[in-house]
Amino acid sequence: MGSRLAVKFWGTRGIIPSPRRSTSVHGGNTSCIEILSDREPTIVDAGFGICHLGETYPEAKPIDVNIIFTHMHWDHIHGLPFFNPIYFPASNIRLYSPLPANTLKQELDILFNGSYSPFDGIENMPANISFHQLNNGDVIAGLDVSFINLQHALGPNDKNPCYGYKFKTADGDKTLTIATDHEALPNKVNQQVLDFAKGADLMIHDAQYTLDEYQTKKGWGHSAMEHAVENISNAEAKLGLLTHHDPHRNDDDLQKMFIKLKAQYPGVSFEFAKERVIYEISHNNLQSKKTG
Amino acid sequence: MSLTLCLHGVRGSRPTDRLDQMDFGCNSTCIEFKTENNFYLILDGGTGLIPRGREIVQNQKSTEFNFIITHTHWDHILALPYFEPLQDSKNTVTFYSSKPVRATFESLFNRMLKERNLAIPVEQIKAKINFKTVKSGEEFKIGNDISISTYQLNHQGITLGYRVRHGNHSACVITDNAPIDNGNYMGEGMAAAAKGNPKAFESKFRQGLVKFLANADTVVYDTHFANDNLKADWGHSTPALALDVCYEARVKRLVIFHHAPEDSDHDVRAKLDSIKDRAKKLGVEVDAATEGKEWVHG
Repeated sequence: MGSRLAVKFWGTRGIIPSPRRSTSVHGGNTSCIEILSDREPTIVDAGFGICHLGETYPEAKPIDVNIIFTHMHWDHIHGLPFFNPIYFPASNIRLYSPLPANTLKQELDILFNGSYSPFDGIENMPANISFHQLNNGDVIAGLDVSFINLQHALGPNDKNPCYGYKFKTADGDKTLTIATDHEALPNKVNQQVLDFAKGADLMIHDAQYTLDEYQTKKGWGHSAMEHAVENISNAEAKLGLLTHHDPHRNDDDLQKMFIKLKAQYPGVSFEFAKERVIYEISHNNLQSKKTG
Repeated sequence: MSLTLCLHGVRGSRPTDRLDQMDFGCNSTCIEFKTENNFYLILDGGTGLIPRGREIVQNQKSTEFNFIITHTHWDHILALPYFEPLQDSKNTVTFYSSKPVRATFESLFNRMLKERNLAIPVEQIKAKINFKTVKSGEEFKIGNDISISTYQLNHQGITLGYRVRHGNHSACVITDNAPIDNGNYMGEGMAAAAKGNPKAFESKFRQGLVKFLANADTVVYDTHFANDNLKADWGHSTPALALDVCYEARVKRLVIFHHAPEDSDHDVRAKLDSIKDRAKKLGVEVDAATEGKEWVHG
């Protein structure tokens, strides 16, 4: 059986929320992934999906939660001021990033600025909020965590890096990698990402654009769906989940693209990520179940 | 001359995304005023702006865009940087907004475009952008025949209510706005203005709002709270409070708006039902803000 490792998407959308009936199957919230282990929940990114996750926490119960950030683009942080546990004095919210702890705090503070919000700085929110610089090999909620620079915005040498993550159960039994914002180019960075994700049970990958759209969006920091599937194949991941759906893309469009890509890459196991579905890693196969 | 009020985003505080909220809509504040003029006139840039932006670039009638901004809380501005017409150098976008002491709209808008936060390359924002400051009580024109007046509402910073006049018709938007009674002074400068004679200040604010809305065809009004769960110091009103003001101002139609993020469609219907009978007696038509809904005047 081994230790538990599963993910639940609360936000699959890139750039800006797209809440409408025609996106309700895959979801219209910006990035948020909950990682379920045998310990307390760990959340990757605080797009608006985190608000719906927050609604599931009862106020009466003290909340203990870790949030790890991939980068500081609005669509990955914007939901934090609206995450219910941040208003509960008994909550312990630990915020992580490879950035220095002080930098992380300064970066997130803008969300709580009095001109943009009814708040007066992140420091004055009721919850116990702590900031942590993540080091490779740190253990969070019983999981080994490592990170890598992705090809996003100006690339890995940019002063505003974007990170990919790998989570591994302590017994080494199960592995999951996350690259929500990554432009798959035939370069060294991409090769490092493939090596990093090699043989993962689950590989979560950016697939914002169709190949046609990508021709006019080169350098915008996101992958064409075809390139994402090729990455999943080349990393020999057991299953790939495609995410960071374009805000203008409807469920029907994704369904059509899925059929097309399946025909094009028959040997690769992948899906377009859906919100509120739990993807449970079990030995040699991955089960998904819809909840909530 | 015809004035059409069109709702693209009706949700308050933040966008939401639940199936049981889809009848009224989950996008945050964005309202458009359409006239015979080709140029675009849009109030606030909540997420309702995003699908509208795509629609516009697919069938664009003008290169001139005008935004009137109520205030700079996230739910009212977060989608502005991703409004697709901003990515075309042929377009000119003008923002009309207030100037609170703390920070200008221009600085807050530009802060949203910082590379480390903006989810698209900043060099893609190619339109010509103008910033214009408007004061509370000021009246200004957009084009030859649209007249816009403002009123400072009871909400953090300098939040402006807007009245848009075109020909014989007027449509107003009052968001966000809290009851001012009993010293609940939320807007910049209000506590100082009330000093010495709070009752007179409160009465003046209220009478000023009634006068501002007088005889309007349609008023879209922040009713974030239900009649029984008002938290006055959070900066929002209730359907009953909105109806009181609209009745006194002889408004023809009240549209309850800024639905709370936790409100289901059922909750919004219950809010509307809570004032229906009284509104009928008072002769005010009432409706609940619904994404995609339009009211044509004239």
